[in-house]
Amino acid sequence: MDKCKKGLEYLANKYDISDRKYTLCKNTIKLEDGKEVMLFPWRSERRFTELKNLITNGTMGDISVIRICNINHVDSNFNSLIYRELDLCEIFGGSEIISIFAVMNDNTANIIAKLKNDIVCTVEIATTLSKGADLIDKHEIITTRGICCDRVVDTQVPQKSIYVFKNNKTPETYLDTDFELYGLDPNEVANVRCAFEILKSEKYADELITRDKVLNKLVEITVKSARTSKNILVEEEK
Amino acid sequence: MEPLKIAIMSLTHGHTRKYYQVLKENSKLNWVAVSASSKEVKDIFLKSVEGIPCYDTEMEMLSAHPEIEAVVLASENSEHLRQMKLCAERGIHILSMKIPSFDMEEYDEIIEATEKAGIVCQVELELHYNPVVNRLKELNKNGEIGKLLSFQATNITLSPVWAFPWQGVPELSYGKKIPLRVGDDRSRGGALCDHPHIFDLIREMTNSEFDTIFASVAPNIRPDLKVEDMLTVVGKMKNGVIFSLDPSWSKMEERLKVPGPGWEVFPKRMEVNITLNGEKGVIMTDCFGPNVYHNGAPNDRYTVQYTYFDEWVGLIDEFVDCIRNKKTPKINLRWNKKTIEAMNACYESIYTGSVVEL
Repeated sequence: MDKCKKGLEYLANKYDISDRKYTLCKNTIKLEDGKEVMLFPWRSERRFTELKNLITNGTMGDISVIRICNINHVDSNFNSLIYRELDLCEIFGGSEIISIFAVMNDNTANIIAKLKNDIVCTVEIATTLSKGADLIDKHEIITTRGICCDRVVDTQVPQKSIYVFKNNKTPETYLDTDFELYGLDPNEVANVRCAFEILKSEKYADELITRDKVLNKLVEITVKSARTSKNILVEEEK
Repeated sequence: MEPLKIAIMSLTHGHTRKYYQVLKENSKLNWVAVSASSKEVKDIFLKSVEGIPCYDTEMEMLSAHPEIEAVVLASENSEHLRQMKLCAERGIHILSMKIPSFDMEEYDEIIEATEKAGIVCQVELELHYNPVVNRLKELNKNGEIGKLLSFQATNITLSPVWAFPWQGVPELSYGKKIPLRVGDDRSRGGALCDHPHIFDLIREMTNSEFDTIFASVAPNIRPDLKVEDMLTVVGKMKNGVIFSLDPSWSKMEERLKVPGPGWEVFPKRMEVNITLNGEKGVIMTDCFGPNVYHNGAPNDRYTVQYTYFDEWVGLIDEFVDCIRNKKTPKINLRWNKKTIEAMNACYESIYTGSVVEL
């Protein structure tokens, strides 16, 4: 946490917003005006920014399907993963979720979310990885002109930049993605970048506060769908 | 701190466009002007950037903006000596493209002119500001794999000559026309001149200098080029570490006049991979990976969309820091000289077919 605080302080100083008062917490940032804003770190991950750019700048065609998988640690917050991935569905798809069908079995869930613009999203979530294992996720967007994805063809797990092979059978790996925030892991980088965006823009802070409410509702609907085995229309739950 | 008043001179180097964003966004900079060396590059610039005055000559720009404190010298290699002297006379700090000069007498003239003027001259070897390279250097320095035995690296890209024609003209790229070998119709000035990075990094990471170099040029994969596009280099550092370096243009490209989407034929247009073998293990590094990937427009080919890499941010930060706080850049002219000497040794080895001792 200290590293993140220092990182945010560095960016605030460098980009001339050091006059802003704030308190950075694990998942939120408290602002001077009393607002507490949930961090949406995935929105500041550059791989997702690039994927979104590929969609909006005309590189890809019209989206048909968004396929997402996220396999996380056993002790991670299951619902927060659903929250994150449903947010990404709407960001990539450029439309809101209108219906959700989900099945769940202990700490796994498979979800079909339909967007208003007819795009179908499949989201596969599990918190089954041992603590300390490398996280696995994949975001694949299938369009009329091809596919864009944050994972390279012919691989099943995320790649790293550096592999160190020493005495152990499995290599030590490193993934450094941000020179300005060197020393922070990619998740920490995303947290700090998101907090920085919130500090820069009150409008963005307000947008995320609204968004938090919408996503909590979508998670609630997902859980209800799994419990009732029904495809639930979001409109009917409002 | 007062923002540094900076300009870009020439706009003909392939890296020019990399600076547009950082020069606009970095609050330590005030981007004042650019000068274009031709109407063609001026038109390209004006389509890419708004609000920055573009002059037809560097003299016109310098006269109109006496406040300029520093320039990004984005010209062909053959222009560097003249332009650096021009800057030195005016006390203008210089961020030089990666090759100040291959002519070592010229190189010394540049050192003399810039040192006499007391200006900062930083050589743009941007990999030093890449977070993966940073980590690799740290792991190596900490002795993660024990004593280093060998260093293997690629610095392989597509060929930029169709967009930046000077890189295929020996006199503009290498500085003069020297055949690669007796009877070879190709001359020095191609892929090797484009790829100094691995010759530089190995010196820092082995903490040693080049001892022997043997280089071999292969048949061009672009037979119409009059400079080399494929070559390989092996040798030994003075501390015994052996190396293998590939500075080729081995990734095929579409022959675009202006770099943009669809440039690459091979999915990844630029790769710097480094493998270190040590007494206690191995480190394998992809300095530009992972990324995101697509097979969309314009050519529907599988393509690497570079995602994480913004070396220009750290590079410019160091440049400003050196100027404002009177520091010497890490990649300064004197440090870089031995890198250029090693690259010249590659050409000499190719020419003679022999091992070159440095």
